[in-house]
Formats: sequence, structure tokens, C-alpha cells
Amino acid sequence: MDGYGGKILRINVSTGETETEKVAEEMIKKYLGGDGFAVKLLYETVPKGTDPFAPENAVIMTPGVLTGSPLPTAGKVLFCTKSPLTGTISESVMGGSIGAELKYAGYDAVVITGRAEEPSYIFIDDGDVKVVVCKDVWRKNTREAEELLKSRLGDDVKVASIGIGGENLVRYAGIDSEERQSGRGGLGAVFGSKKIKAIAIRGTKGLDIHDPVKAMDLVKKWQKVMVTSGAFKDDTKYGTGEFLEWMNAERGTFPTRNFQEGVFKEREKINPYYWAPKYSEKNKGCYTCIKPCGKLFTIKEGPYAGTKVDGIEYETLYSFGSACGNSDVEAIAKANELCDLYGLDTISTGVTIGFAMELYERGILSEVDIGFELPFGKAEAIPQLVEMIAHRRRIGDLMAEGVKRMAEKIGKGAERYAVHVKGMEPPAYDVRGIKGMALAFMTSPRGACHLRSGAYALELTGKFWKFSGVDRFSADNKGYEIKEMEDFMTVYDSLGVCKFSRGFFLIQEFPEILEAMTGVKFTEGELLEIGERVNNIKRLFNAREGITRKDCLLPPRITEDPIPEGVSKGSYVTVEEMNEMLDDYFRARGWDKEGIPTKQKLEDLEIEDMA
Amino acid sequence: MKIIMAYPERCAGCRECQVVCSLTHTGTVNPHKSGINIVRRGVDIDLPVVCVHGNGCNFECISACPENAISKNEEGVVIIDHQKCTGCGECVEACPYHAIQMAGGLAYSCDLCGGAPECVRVCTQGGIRYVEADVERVKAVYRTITEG
Repeated sequence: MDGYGGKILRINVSTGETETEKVAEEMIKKYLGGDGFAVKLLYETVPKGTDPFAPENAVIMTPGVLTGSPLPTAGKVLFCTKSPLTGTISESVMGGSIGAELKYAGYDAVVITGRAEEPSYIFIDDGDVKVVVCKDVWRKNTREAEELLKSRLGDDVKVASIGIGGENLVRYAGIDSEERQSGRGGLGAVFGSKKIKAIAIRGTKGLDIHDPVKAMDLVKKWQKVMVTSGAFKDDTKYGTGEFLEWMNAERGTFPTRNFQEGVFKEREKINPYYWAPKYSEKNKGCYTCIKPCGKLFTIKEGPYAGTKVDGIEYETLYSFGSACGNSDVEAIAKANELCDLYGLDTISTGVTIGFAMELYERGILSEVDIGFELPFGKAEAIPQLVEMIAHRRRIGDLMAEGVKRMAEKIGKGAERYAVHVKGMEPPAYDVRGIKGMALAFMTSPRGACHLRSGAYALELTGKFWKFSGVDRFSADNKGYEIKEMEDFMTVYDSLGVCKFSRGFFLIQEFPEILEAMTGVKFTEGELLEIGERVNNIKRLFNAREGITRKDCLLPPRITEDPIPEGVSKGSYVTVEEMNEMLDDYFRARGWDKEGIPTKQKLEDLEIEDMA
Repeated sequence: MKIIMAYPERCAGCRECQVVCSLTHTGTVNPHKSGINIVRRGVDIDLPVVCVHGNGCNFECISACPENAISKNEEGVVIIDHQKCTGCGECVEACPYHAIQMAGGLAYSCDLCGGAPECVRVCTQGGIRYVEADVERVKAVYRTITEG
């Protein structure tokens, strides 16, 4: 099959046994690839009630359909598991080039189950797949692990690895490859529980392209569209943080001091318009990305001299910046680098630190509990706490559990200040002033998440794709909007195209692109139906795990504390609005009042056998 | 002569150059079958490695090839004849800059696309440019390779 690797690879790391099967044409028509394949395979592989750290849990790795193709910015790979942070299905997408390499080795999906007896890595060398014991790589940071495995296996292999965070089962540990991360949901900890340090891949078979001439024409066409667009300059010069000032001044929805405020007054020096010219040595791009948002952030002097990190992303400017009341961009860069080296999600790590700061200021955590004073804005404490979390040292051991478990263990009313949905720490959108996004936080299968729907684009600008006149302060008619956006984004994650490109490639562009690359014909409607099908299976997975309507609800900070200042002043989501939006969404999905897909809906989507 | 010069201080490491090189020369995407290769070291080095066509080398590949499969054309461009190549790998060993890749039993190196290199066309960062050869710069840029 052109454009596809063609095979699914299953690896049981307990025994080292592997199995391959051909990707059936029916699977492509029903699930497309990437996210679609991952969700189907996880649902079928992981039995109900599996402990996320048990050998029976699986990690599924799936490059997108267009990953490995020449289409600019299509190089993403997705990892999916049952999350140790949320207990739900959880996907996380990364860039780098390892997804393409997997396709070039001939695979569209890898299903990893079991638990190795000793620390090991997986080596996929085209058709030759092994689980190799590697005690000397264990305890290495992600950069060291990548270099060590490349020196051993060849400079041309691609490596994804976990750090000490994953080894220590930090519930929000991620996976790193070439300084890019699948950060969210604790995938790194699942790898750690399996004693799998890394996956190394060499793929020399390459990828057949259905119509190479047309494919090259499309490369040229989209290159021109991107380079000549107004967004190109700022996207590449300032990266994902380019809208930080606007989110504060024009929207008042940049979560600050653990979601207490929506405007970070001390933001000037965390704005990339300030720091990119001063600290960025050059741009860094993922595979096939001709519009690179990454910056090589380099600190040459001072307490953090020697820091080099591919960043800093918008989310991290919030998590280690505004969420902690911290305006020291060098401390943010250092914390970011440590997270990459130790394999920790920067969002959850930073939000957990911001939560601890609020508990300290409210007298719920003391200097004795923490080991030092921890008011908001204490920059030097942030990298220090990252170290403590990764190593599970002192209070870091508790913080490694995430804000939900941390609050439960601390008690004393700490739950009132824990901002999360389904146990997932939220990204940089103060949803009290972006009500559609508040719904998206509720409905996202992996908990508070901006990327399952990407609805902030239309909520904050009023229009995107087929939506216009969207009012972010209104809770009306948000159900259909979020449902459609989730289906849209699931198509993206199945294709492997970067979401930072979605302003260029709307769904209607993909039938032509897919036909040139794969020869398979899809209509826009069929693609969105696949998105809907996959979202129904995600819900079936969560329902099977006992995740109900009440697990989707928003934390008290969102439903009780209005935004105190700025252009969104006074806005919050009332309990009534929260419930109405959720009802509206379930109706739009054709699910019952508890959010369970109806028999009719499953039949319409031809997945009734999965219930 | 004009060659593809590398500017690692600008290269973002996206490798679209490698992808389109293989696509236009082989009809498939395979970075291992590309005339250009981006060497990555740690977080900060992305080095485009590509044949310098004698500007900073002594055509070691041509001398090393036991099959006479590698030659210079009238413009001075190094060309590998895949009809004659047996995949022995002698050229890969001989090239001082490791600018030849071996995949599927054949050697691959840059042929400058007849004077309009596709890789340069897709590079948006200025990491590679099709310009007059600068031997001193070639030697300086590839020092990380020649000195291991």
C-alpha cells in the first residue's frame, strides 16, 4: 500500500516475542491511521480495569498516514496508553523524525505490552526486532540515552527515550526524541513500569509514494502558501509563544498564579518578542517542517549558563512562568531543559509547582513540608522542584503524583485549589473566559486538554473553519462546535500533520493530498466520519473504565471564582452553564445523558461490535 | 563552480531536503537514498552533509571505486552510475566528508539536479545554498566530521 508502512508490529517485552500482521484495507477505510489506529488497537489490547503500570497495559506508537511523506509539516507520531495520571485513554503527539523512520521500516503501528525483567530497549532494525537488555543506559538522561544508543547502533538510528522521571514512575513523565516530546498523560511512566528505556529505529525500506510527480507539485504548492503567508515570519521568529501578549492584553485569558488571574502583569520578559532575539541561536524544526517554531534557546552566563533547550513553547512559558507567577525566563528555560532531560511534561510539572505555591501562600503547605519558602514568583525554586519531582525527593515524591492525588493526600481543603479535569493539569487557557474551551476541557478523553479540540482558535478569534460569530463568553451552542472540532483534530492526529499548520490545511485539502501520497480516495465527509468514529471508541474505552459524567466536571476555581481583572473580568463558568454545555455536547454526539454512546450511534458508525 | 554549501548555523534540521532529494531521484521517499544528509549532534548541531564536487576534496570516491562507476561530467559534477555500482562501499569509506550514503546495495550522492537543486529550493532557513564553492568554508564547516 503506497504511503503506508503496511504492517502492525506487536512486541511483548516480557518474552521478547514479536508478531506482525498486514494492515487490512478495511482498517484504513475505517480508521485512516495514526490516532485512529492507536485508539482501535488500545481498545482491543488493554483489558478492562488494567492497572496502568501492569504488564497488560499497552503503549501504541503510530505515525500518521502522511508522516514520512514529503508534505511539509507532516511528521508527527502519536503514543497512546491507559494513563497512570487520569486512568483514561490518553494520546500524546510528538514531532522529531522517529515516526517517519518507523514508516520507513515498514510499520504503521507498534503495540508494546509486557514488562521486561531488566532495563531494556527495543530495537526495530527494519524487519529485525529485538528487546535488548541495557542496564548501562538506565538512569541516563534523554540526551545521553540517545547519544549512547546511536554510538552503539549507528548514527542513522532514531531514538525515543524516557528519562529518570519515567523510570521513577512520575505520573506525568513523557517520552523524548530529538528534543521533542510526547509529554502529556504519563507515557514515560508506563514505559518505566515496563522497564523499557528507549525505542531505537532504523528504517531503510523507505516509503512508496502513489504519484511522485503530483507529490512534488504539492510540496511546492504548500511551500509557497506557507512562506508567503502572513503567519510565516512570526511563527518562525517567535514560535508558539507569539500570541502571549495578545492572550493577556486582548483576551485576559492567560492563566496566572495557579489559575487565580487571567492576566500576568510581569509578562514582558517571558514574551518571545523579548527573549527570542536575545537567547535564540537558531530555529529548530521537526521532520519536514519548513516552518520551524522551535528555537535553540541558549544561556551563556549567570546561574543557568550552559542551558540549551529547543523551546520555549507557549505552554511552558505559562506553566513555569505565569502559573508560578515567575517572570524569570532563564529559570523557565532551565526548568524546561530539565524536564526534557528527565522526561517530564512541562505543563503538568509547572502547574503542580504553581499549585504548591498557592498551598504555601494559603498556609496549607508549610516551609517545613516543602523544605524552603515557596511563594509565587520564587524563580530559583522552580528548577529545584523539577529536580525533586524527577528524583521523587522529599515533597517531590508527593508532587510527582499530580495535583489531584497531591490534594487528596494533603487534605486540609487543598482540593479547593487543585485545578484539573480527570486528574490532568490544564494548559494555558483560562477557560473561565473561553467557555467553549471549558467544555473542551470536560470532554477531552485525557482530561483538561487544548489539543483534542483545538477550539481555542475559534473561541478566541470568533471564527475558524466553518464556524463564525463565536462568542467566547456564551455557553450556548457549544456542544456541536466542540464535537466537530474534536472530530477535525482527530483527523489531524490520524494524518500526522502538525496542528500548528491547521490554519493552512483545512480538512478539504486532504482528499487531494491523500490520493497523491497513498492512492486511497477519501471525501472530506468520510474523513470527519472517521474522526467521529475514533472519538466514540475513546469514549467507549473510558466508559469501560468507569469514567462517568461526574468525572468530566470542572474544578471549583473555574465554576466559583470569577476572573478578577483584565478584559475578561467577571467571567466564569456557572455550574448551570457547565451542565448545560455537557448535555448539549452529549446530544450533539448522539450519546445518552451519562455520555454513553447509544446503540444507534455505534451502528451508524459501524462499530456496534465494540460496545 | 556552484555547489551546495552548508550553513549549519541556519539549518533547523527538518530534513525536507533529504526527503525531496530521494523523491525526485528515486520516486520514493527514503532519506537513506538521498544525496544530502543532515547530521544531528545533541540539541545544537544540525549539519547538512553533501558532496562538494572536488571543492575541498581530491575526488577520493572516483579513485576508490573499483567499478569505475563514479565520474566527473563536463561541468565537473560527480555522478554515480547505478548501472555499474555494485554497492561495495569503497566510495563511502573514501569520502572525507561522509557525503555518500549506501542503501539497498547502491551508493547515493548529490548530482546537483542538473543545476537546479530541489533540496535548496525547499529550504526556507538558508541552511543550504546553491552558490560558488568556497573551499575554506567547506573545510571549516566539515571539520566536525573530518576530526570525528
